[in-house]
Amino acid sequence: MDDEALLDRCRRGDRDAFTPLVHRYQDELYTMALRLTGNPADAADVVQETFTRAFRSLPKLRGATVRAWLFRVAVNCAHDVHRQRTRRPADPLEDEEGRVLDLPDPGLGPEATALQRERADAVRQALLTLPHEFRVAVVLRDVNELSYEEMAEALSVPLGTVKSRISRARTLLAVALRGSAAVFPTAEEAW
Amino acid sequence: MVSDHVEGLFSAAYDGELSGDARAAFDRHLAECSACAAAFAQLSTAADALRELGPARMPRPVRLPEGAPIPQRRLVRLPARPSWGRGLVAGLTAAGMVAVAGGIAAVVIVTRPNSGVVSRGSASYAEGGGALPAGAVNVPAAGNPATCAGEACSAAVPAPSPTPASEHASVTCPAELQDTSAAAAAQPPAGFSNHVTQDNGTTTVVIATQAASFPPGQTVDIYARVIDDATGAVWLPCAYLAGPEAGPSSGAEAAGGGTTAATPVAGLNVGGVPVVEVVVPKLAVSGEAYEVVVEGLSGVGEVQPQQVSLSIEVT
Repeated sequence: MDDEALLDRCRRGDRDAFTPLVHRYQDELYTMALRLTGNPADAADVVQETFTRAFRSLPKLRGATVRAWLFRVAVNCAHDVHRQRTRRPADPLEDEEGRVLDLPDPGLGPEATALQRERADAVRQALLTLPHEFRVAVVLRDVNELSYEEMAEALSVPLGTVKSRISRARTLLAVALRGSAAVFPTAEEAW
Repeated sequence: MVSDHVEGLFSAAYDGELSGDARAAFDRHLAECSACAAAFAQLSTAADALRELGPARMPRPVRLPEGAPIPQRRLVRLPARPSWGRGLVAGLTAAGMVAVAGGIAAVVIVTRPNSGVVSRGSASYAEGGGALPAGAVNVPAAGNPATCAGEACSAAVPAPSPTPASEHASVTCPAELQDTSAAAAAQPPAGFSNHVTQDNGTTTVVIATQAASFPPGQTVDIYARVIDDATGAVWLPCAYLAGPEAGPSSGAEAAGGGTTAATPVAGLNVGGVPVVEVVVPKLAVSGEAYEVVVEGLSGVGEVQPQQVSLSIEVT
């Protein structure tokens, strides 16, 4: 059953119709939240809060796709967490948890896995140095692979703003990764 | 430095968004410009690395609130509030309800004591005033505040004074303020000390004025925001200035007087923050209380639109 059909059932008060939406989008939203917050506990809270708000606010979903709307709610929740984070530093132990939740490529050998992990760590850290709005832009685009149009919906900004933010965000990410030999093996020559 | 080259096209090129000719020109430039080629490779490598992170799994089950999802809200007529006067109620039911379907009430009505509605209008922005960037405002398709939802409203409420197109952009109230932070919007700007905030669980309404009392004829800047708690969407609603109870002799005749023209029509911003303006009726009597009224959507389990007001007193 597609999103719209489930939504119609939800609007008629059918609680069971909401559950498939949760199953369909929870991992995608969690992945986004994890990249934005860098913290598994916060990311799980973001997803929980997203579906709680969505459950209560279904009538406000007008003229948007369910997916883009859920991302919009999740981005807003993540922003709330981000603001709280500026007052409460992340617990470094929680970062460890984040690594094991990522899915390693089972086909890689030990060395390649180690390199992949090093590379992933560098990207995660670099991502967290980006200003929030640029981090959101590059995560929605390159992690969740939203289209420009979906991003415009999810962020409630014009298409041109979406494109410029993605562009700026990727540039900032590349700059932040300059020193990483795992990402740029010939970094010294390149830069 | 590559700023004079094709740096601005890197991201679009990475996404495959350049058209055939543009892509060919881009590739020709890279072939001749080692700086651009290197920078583009670095941006691509960084984006590729991010994409390689792969998906993660939600580590714990999502718990949903008890009960059924909130069913789609049904719009209801506002109960008449005697203290507002007949005209305001007429305006609300005729025009406001249609706009509430799109999110929030949509007309600005000014009443004066013992009269009912004097006139109405909607907020607009001065062109080039810098209050809002081009394209920053979403006007909902549902309802049309500018026309006050048709003849029923026009009959009940005199039309607003025409505003020269050269001075003002189109009527935009209510309007979504794009790219506006919900947290920032929830805080009235400096100087708006008379304020109220109400959150019904799904929608936060903020109303603020720069003083709690105003003389007759005074223009009042109203900072009003309706914030969707779920999405963080911020709306500039219209506002009503509701006066004391209409007396038995009030009516169309009294309402027809032009001395208190409702004027939420100027270029409206305070320090770059868009506001709505109304004018305290010139015939208002010192000591009387007026209410600045804004409406949001109805809240969880409620059957009426959320309605929030802020009192001001006539000096």
